Amino acid sequence: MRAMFVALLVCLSMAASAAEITFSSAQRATILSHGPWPPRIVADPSNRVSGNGAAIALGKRLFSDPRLSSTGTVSCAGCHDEAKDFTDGRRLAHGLMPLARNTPTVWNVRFNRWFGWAGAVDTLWGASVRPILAADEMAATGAHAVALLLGDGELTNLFVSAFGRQPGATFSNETGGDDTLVAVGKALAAYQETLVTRRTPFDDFRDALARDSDNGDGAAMKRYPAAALRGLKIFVGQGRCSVCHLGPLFTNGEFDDAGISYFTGPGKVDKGRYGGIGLFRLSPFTRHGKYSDRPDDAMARLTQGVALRHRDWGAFRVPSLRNVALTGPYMHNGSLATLRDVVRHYSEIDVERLHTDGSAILRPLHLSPEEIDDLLAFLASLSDRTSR
Amino acid sequence: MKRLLSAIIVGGGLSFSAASVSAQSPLADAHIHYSHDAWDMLPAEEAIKVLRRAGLTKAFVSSSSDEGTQMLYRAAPDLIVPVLRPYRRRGETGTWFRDATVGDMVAKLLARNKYAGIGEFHLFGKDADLPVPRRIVSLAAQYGIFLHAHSDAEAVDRIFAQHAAARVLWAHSGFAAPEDVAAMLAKHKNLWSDLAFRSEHAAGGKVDPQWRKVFLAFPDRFMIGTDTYAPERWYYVIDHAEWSRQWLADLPGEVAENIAYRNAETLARWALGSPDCTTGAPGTTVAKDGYGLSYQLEPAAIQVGQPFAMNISVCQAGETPFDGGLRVDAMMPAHKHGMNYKPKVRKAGRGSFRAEGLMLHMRGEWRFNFELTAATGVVRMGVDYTQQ
Repeated sequence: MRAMFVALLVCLSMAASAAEITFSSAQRATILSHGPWPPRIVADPSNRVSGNGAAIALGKRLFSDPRLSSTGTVSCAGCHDEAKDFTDGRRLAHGLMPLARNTPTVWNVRFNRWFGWAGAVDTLWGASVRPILAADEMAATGAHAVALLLGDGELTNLFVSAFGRQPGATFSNETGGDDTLVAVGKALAAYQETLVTRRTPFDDFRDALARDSDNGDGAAMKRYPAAALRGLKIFVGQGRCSVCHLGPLFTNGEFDDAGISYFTGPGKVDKGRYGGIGLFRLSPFTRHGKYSDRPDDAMARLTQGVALRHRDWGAFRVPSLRNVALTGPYMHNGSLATLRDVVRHYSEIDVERLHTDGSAILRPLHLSPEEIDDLLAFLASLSDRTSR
Repeated sequence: MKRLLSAIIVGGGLSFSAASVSAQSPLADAHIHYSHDAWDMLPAEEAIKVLRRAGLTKAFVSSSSDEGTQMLYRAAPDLIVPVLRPYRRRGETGTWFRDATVGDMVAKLLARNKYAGIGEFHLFGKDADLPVPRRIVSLAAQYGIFLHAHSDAEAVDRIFAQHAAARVLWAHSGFAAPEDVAAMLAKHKNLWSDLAFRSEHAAGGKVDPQWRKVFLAFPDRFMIGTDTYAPERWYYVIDHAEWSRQWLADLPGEVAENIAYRNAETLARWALGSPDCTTGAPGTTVAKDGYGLSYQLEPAAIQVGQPFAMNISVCQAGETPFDGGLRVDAMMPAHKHGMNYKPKVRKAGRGSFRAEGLMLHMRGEWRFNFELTAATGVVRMGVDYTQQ
């Protein structure tokens, strides 16, 4: 079996200084599975204004408008700063009050199945409503949103264009404020759906490999940095990073224990996914909930059936790695300042923190400094370089 | 307790009101670790608070190193069932059974301290017949205590082949399928199963039909457990207890009570070797008329003129836990006076009490007086104490 496996190795041409790097057929298939990019864009069936131009314009305005918060001081963009790749660059986020988690980027957020570090909701519009209502983030209300929209003629017009009704009017028998707040969330979601990263050096390499099923497109592949190629070998090989960071988004969209402490202070822990599932089950802003515009589709049925398991305690989102080099600090609590710190964390991971019958994916790699540099070069090749 | 449980049976059937069960029913957790990396963030006193907040009557604690277990046992002898882990650090899970120093370490600790069992240890397949595990099985037999084995079925079979009268608590029920767990329980009458870190036997407060069959077939063999393998998971003990109460409420009352706490308490009583708590109990002990009492002072070395507390365990002959009341006082017989303060005694669990507000205001010969209000009448006991 082993001999057959070796016989299947595919030799790839390398840039001048790099030693010959080989990928097994399985590794090659894995590399190809990380594309193509961008993926096919599909409108969100739970959001009636997904892809609607007026809604996108309204959402973009509201995203940067601090008047959406109760104090008029906090906007979505205050944490998701476009100049910082839609993060805040801080270890921990800060809304109206200090928060316990790092601000994740909203690049490519439209492709998520779950939102936030704990997946407390399964809709982008619900994830957009949540911080508006949260007392420690924007502390606003539906009535506040109605007043804001009615008090600004441009916002009123955009809202009417997008939703065909005045702010405060209802789609259903809900109160006008709540219904308008959900509409605000859907407009914010429509805008965030436009935030898709561009193609990267890795995508060019991957597509070149795909063009020739046997040997690849030599010229195009040689443009890919040798260090990045060596890092890719670790990523799909001994590192087994692709087990969780899979597909074009480099994430499985789920949650796991990465061996990072989740204490938030003495006697306090962040329950992570376990708490997220609890909140999801209470949330009205779900795919299957009353505000969804398609509450019975396959995705709604899937997420509705999410299981609560002991392993969800202290598990956090497996983040996408697109533009990862631009979006530090890292991990759910921002505890790792640089991407090098992240690689070192996984390379020397403390397996004692992981359950012996857990997913058993993580193990110390003991990478050399050169191998760490190579892995960082690969991760840098996942940046589109458009934002900084 | 029986009356309370009977009172919440709905409609004369065998289902419980989930809310009542969740709020009130006692639990024993058979799978707790308090290892070195938990001690800083969660000092022993805080850890005990977590266990009590979860409503536990007993917690089987094993730690890497054993010092963690001893710290908790000293802090709450009524609550903690000490189990000796043959690891100095948690990282020894895959090496201990070939480490020739482990046997002597375990033997020394068994000679020094009181334990209900040895474990939780990780042991699979033929490794169970290696010299080190054989000595562990032999030591358990010598001391009349159980083995807490994180093992596959083969290793469990091999342990019983070495010593047919061994008592084994099968950690995680071997992560085996319900029918395989049932087969093992049928094969080995001295095998108990903990359900730690398993989620598949219940969801949404309902017991899986296959597992239900096994629980009903072996109602006196299962226990619940959290498995605090990382420090943060200590805070899961409370959520886990709530989760457990929900699915236990889906079982017939007697079966639910057995799994909730009775099976664990029975095994602990067997292992700790005495129907009363005077034999081998920590602290100072006294017995009279079939009742046993042990107490520990807090702080252990009390200062004259300084307030102190007592943690007291009361047991009675037979299998029934003591369910009566307790008064505590102290006096100086030679001076014919007592303390200047009236201590407050509160029940900390069945048969366990905490007395606070005691103060010895003079040096000299004192006598602690205990007055049990038992079903058979008032039983008075006294212990002499010299205040330096």
